[in-house]
Amino acid sequence: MLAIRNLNKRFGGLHALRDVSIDAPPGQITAVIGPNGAGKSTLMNVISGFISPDGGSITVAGTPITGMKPHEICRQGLARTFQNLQMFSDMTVLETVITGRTRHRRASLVANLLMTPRVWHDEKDAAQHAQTLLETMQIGPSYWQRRAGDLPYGLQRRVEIARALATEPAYMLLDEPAAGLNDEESVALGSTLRELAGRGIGIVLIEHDIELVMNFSRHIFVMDAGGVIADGTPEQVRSKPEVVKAYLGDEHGA
Amino acid sequence: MTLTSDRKLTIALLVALPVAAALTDNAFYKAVLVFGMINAVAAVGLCLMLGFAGQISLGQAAFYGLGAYGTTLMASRFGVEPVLAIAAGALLSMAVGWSISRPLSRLHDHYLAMATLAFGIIMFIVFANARSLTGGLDPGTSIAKFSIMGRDLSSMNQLFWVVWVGLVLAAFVAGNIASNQIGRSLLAVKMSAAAAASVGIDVVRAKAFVFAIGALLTGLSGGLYAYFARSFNATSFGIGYSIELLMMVVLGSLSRVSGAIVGAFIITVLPVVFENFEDYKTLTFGVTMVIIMKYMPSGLVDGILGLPGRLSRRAKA
Ligand SMILES: Nc1ncnc2c1ncn2[C@@H]1O[C@H](COP(=O)(O)OP(=O)(O)O)[C@@H](O)[C@H]1O
Ligand SMILES: [Mg+2]
Repeated sequence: MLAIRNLNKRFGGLHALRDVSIDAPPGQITAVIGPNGAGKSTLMNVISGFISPDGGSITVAGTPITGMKPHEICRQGLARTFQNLQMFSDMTVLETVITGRTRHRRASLVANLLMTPRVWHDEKDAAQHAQTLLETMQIGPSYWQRRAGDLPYGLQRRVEIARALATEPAYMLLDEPAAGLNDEESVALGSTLRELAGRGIGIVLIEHDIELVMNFSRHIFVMDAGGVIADGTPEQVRSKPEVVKAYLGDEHGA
Repeated sequence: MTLTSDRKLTIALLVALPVAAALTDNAFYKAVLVFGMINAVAAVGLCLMLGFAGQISLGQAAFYGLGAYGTTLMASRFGVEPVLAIAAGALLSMAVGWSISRPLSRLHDHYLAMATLAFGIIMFIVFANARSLTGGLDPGTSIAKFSIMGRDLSSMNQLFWVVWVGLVLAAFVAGNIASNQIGRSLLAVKMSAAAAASVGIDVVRAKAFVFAIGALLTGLSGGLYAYFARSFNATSFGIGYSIELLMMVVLGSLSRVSGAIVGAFIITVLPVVFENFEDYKTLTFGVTMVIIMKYMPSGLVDGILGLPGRLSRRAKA
């Protein structure tokens, strides 16, 4: 279980997170929705260690990770993508995903400096593993040697997910992975995420695309103005008046 | 196991050097070759820092000086075997590089440039004034001839091979880094520190590593320089040399080890070539640099390697 308890975060006078508590079980897609500025990305940055909370706690499978640095949190089995893409633009697509495997590389520094046969072997393994993940994310071999920054937007998002998967996470935080995708691509992404959840990964899906969320997630948390205003199954959430007001209000405004 | 184009070019350069040396009897040209290789060792170090990890350093001359003085002190005061003295100088430089990396790790771009520049200036002042250790600006210091186990190897021909081995080692290690996960981690830190951290890369540690290895190689270069020059003073370790190293790397290639070697030779040889132009030396040098930067913004080596592709594209168009 990824357990988030009573997180609080203030940016000066702005209360960006108010007592946010969320449980995300393994093997399921848990969604967090809410209008722009609700605090979803802030929540994500706090969980992954990029922003430190003013209060509250986060545990991964019982291990507290609050206060850890981002790279330490990754090593606890929590991976993420970014709302504003953070690509290794000048690497090839394949290299990008291989880089995601860094935390699993065991060869010593000296072995790496001398490039021992063990390191050559590891390199081959990592490339193989990365190719499998790229296939999982439906990125064909014709793209593997392309410069990552040159790919179309939707594909870059999938490369980011493949890179996150390469860390072999127990939990994965995705910040608006369907942004910029058309309906068809969005549905395809939903099925891929469901397949990943089927492999046991706990997915926290932050999304604006209401259809994607309703169709693919098991449990939904609705945020507004920094707080969780409702949660439940898609059916339960859909019928709550406060959700309709907070969420659809924004949709009409946008 | 395949070799990258960078690796192949590096090997070709390393093979070409002894051939070039064998083709000339002119002692001056031979000395230029040796000095070019010494510069190349330092440039390879800066290439890892700037080209791979995106860590600009305008204070590399300090590491060069630490290597040279460290080597000289070990050899002259403690009678250490020259090869070990060079290793000690390089390790001293590495230790200093590693220790300054932490306070520097929060700085980016021009702030990092300013801080490393300040470090370079401070170290130059130390080199110039710690006269009991360095001999300062005048009279400077000197070191005994290079030898291995008492066997004198100080002729220019012999020094050529000594320095060549140093360059081969530097290129081997840097080439390995460029083609494995260390190099990719450094590139990741440069391209997106946030994404690098999100896949478990310790960004602060990666920066410390690259400062340490950059300082180690530049310190090695300084130790070789000590035995090449035999007698030198603090002026060799001023800001001017830091800027020259930067030009070598930017001119050659920011992303290739071979580029650093090519850049080092350009910056070493061009002033010698333009010596014939007398008054126009600085101007011609400057214009050449501007032309290369304009038409090959990612460096001479990338520019030339990319040329066939560009030409065939133009032919098709
Ligand atoms: N680093 C920051 N400093 C100050 N304010 C911030 C910072 N990050 C986010 N905010 C503010 O916090 C609120 C929540 O933002 P965010 O978490 O990005 O919302 P969402 O992802 O739900 O659209 C917004 O009002 C935003 O302007
Ligand atoms: Mg957001």
